[in-house]
Formats: sequence, C-alpha cells, structure tokens
Amino acid sequence: MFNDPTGMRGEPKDGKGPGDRETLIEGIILYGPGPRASRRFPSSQERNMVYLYKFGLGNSSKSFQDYFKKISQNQIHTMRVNIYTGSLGSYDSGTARAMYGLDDSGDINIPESIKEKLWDESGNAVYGKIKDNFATEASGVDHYSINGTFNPIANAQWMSARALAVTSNGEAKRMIVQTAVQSTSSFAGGAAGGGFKFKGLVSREGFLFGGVETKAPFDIAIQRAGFIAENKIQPWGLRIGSSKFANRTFNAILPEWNSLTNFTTGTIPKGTTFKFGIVGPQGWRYPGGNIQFNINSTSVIKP
Amino acid sequence: MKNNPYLFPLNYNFNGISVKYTNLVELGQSGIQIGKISLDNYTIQNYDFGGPLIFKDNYIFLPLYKRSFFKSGFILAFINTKNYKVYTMESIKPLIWLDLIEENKIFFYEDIEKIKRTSYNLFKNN
Repeated sequence: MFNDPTGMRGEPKDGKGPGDRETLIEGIILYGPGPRASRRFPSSQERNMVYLYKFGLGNSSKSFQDYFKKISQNQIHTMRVNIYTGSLGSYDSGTARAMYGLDDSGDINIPESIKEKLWDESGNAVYGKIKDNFATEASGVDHYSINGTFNPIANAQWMSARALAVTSNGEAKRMIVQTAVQSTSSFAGGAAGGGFKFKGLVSREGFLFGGVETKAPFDIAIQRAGFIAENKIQPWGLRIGSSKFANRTFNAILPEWNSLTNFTTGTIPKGTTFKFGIVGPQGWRYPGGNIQFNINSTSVIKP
Repeated sequence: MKNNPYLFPLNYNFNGISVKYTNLVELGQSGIQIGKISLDNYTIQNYDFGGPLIFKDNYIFLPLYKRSFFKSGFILAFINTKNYKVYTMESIKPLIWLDLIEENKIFFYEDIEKIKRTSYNLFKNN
C-alpha cells in the first residue's frame, strides 16, 4: 500500500526546488523528481518533492485554454498518479507474482526499471487525459463508454470537441488519422451489424455527420484528385498519396467519376478559413473516412 | 463552353422558361457537380441533379443523384416543364452523362471516360 501519493508538500522556490530536474516530455515540463514516498513508486521518485506541471497550449482553442486554467497542479498530479497506478495494476497478477516475488510488505516486487518506465509514461499520458476530459465535458459524450465507442454520431461529437484541444502539428496529424480510422471502423461496424441507415447522415457536401468551419491553426498539407477551379469552394483531402485503391476507398471516388490520373497537392496556409469533416460513404464499397477540407481552391498554395 | 459532368452551363432558356442550376456542390474530390434545379425561380426541393441536361418537347432530361447504402450514383430523371413534376427511372447508374436523344431513345455514358454508352427508350406507351 502507499500513502497519499497525490499529496504535495511545500512550494517550489522560484518555480523550482533545489536539486530538481527539468525534463521536456512531449510538451510537458516537469520540475521535481517525483511523488513522495511509496514503495510502489520508483525509488528515484520517493522523495518529498514538489511537482510543477507546465504544458504548452499551442494553438488550442480558447475554450480549452479556459478549461485548462481551472485545473490545479494537485488535480494534474492526481491524474498522473491514477494513470500510473492503473498501469501498475496490470502487474497485479499471479504471473507477475511468480516472476518478481513479493517484497517485505507483501506487494509484488516490481523491478525499478518497470516502475520508472511506467512513471515516465504516465507523465506523457496526463496531458492527453486532460484533453480527453475536456472533450467529454464539452461534448457530453464519454468517449470510452459503450455509446462513445460504438455510436458513430457520439464518437464524432467527442472527436469534434477533442479537436479543440489540439496543441501541436504532430498531435493534429495523429488525431486526423485516428478520426479517419475510427469513423471508417464505426461505419463498417454499423454496416456489418445491419440496419445502419446513413442516408441522412451524409451532408450534401459529402461530409459524414456534417462539416465544421474553422481556421487553419497551422499549414495543412492536402491533395485533390479532381480538376482545380479558380475562386471556387472545392473538396480537398488529407494527403494519402496517389494509390487508386486508397483514394477510391477513403475518399469515396467511384471509378466512373474520376480516373485518378491527376493529383494536385497543395497547402492550406495557417489562418485560412475552411470547412472540414469526414468523407461520407458512396455505397458500401466506397466507405470514405479520410478528412475532407472544403476550401476555396484559390486559397490553396500549390507547388 | 464545357459540357460534361464536371463543367456544364448553369443557365438555360427553354421555350421561355428559365432553367438554372443553383447551390452546386461537388461529389467529393471527383469533380462531379450536383445542384438544385430552378424553373422560373421555382426550386425543386429534395433532389440534387447533375448535368448536363437535355431538352425535348416539354421535358427536361437530366441525371438525379441518389445515395443508397449499397450503391450511390445517378438515375435518369425528367421534369415536366408544365407542372414541374419529376419522373425518374428506377435503375441506378454510377454516372449518367447525357449525350443525345435520337428516334425516341436517349443515349448516355455511364462513365467519365465515355467507354460505356447506354440508351433508354422514351415515351414507350405514347
């Protein structure tokens, strides 16, 4: 058992305690080596030190930044410890007991290297957890509930809210891919289950569940298969290369509509207004799922 | 002027009736355009039509976009310009690119490459 690992003692001096370290992990700056004593925590963390979590808010939305400002250091630390203890729980098994034996207090004697690794991982995960919580609060959908997992509309609502908390280009790319995969899976799952009627779920513009208008928080690399018209709103997609299979499947382009011999690549400049969403299906063979950007083609910077 | 499913005239005048495509959108990145049709400022709701269209007698022939679970594509539609009623054929095709009407047959292509040409008989019961 461990004693109140979420407790924080003292205040940092000028933001840092003596002997503290400063580590940059995925946008998180940690001051101080760890929570106070518990034999379940890595020994290097078993000191009465203070944590000060700082996060880069990047180009995230104002609503997320406002949400973030209300979270105390204690709450952040509690989340991290919960993530850590949750990870540690996977070692609470007969196999682990046999492998690592028991310590003096009867707990499984998990090696320090594993505990260090899990502790570091919890530090990386806590920022994502905060963002997930924000999305849940903003959308009213718990992403990890049965509804959030299997209901594509609920999932899309949650993802839309989660997009407001994106703070880096890398995260945006990961999320776009995740959204594409999840939406495709949801559609395929619904189709397999039968009775899933998508007719009203696809907008005239081809978005599954409709699109969202926003300004580009950073330069976005896109491509388009169809002809390019000047000064006209046209659908573009996230770059997925020139594979005919990938474009027909994820961009839902029928062979009879376009031979896919010409692709135009371009970049949406930061600050440009566009509408984005998930490509809706055109029949079961062309499920869509890529991210579609409806933007004035003249605004797209072409090479 | 281009006259294909990507680019086609948006305004027509037929026997004194003004016909317009409005509110156009593209079917994803394919470039195929669909939109609403207005006859003398009366917009036919609930349907999206592709182009180009053909006039014959008191009818406008044009492709009507249809999305269904198993197949998306177009069905041939014709609009009576006297009462604005829309009639449709049943068979759904991936694409309908109207070519011409000849000897009570309407010819169209089913793909953008103009490889497959099909025809329907018109006014069979007249």
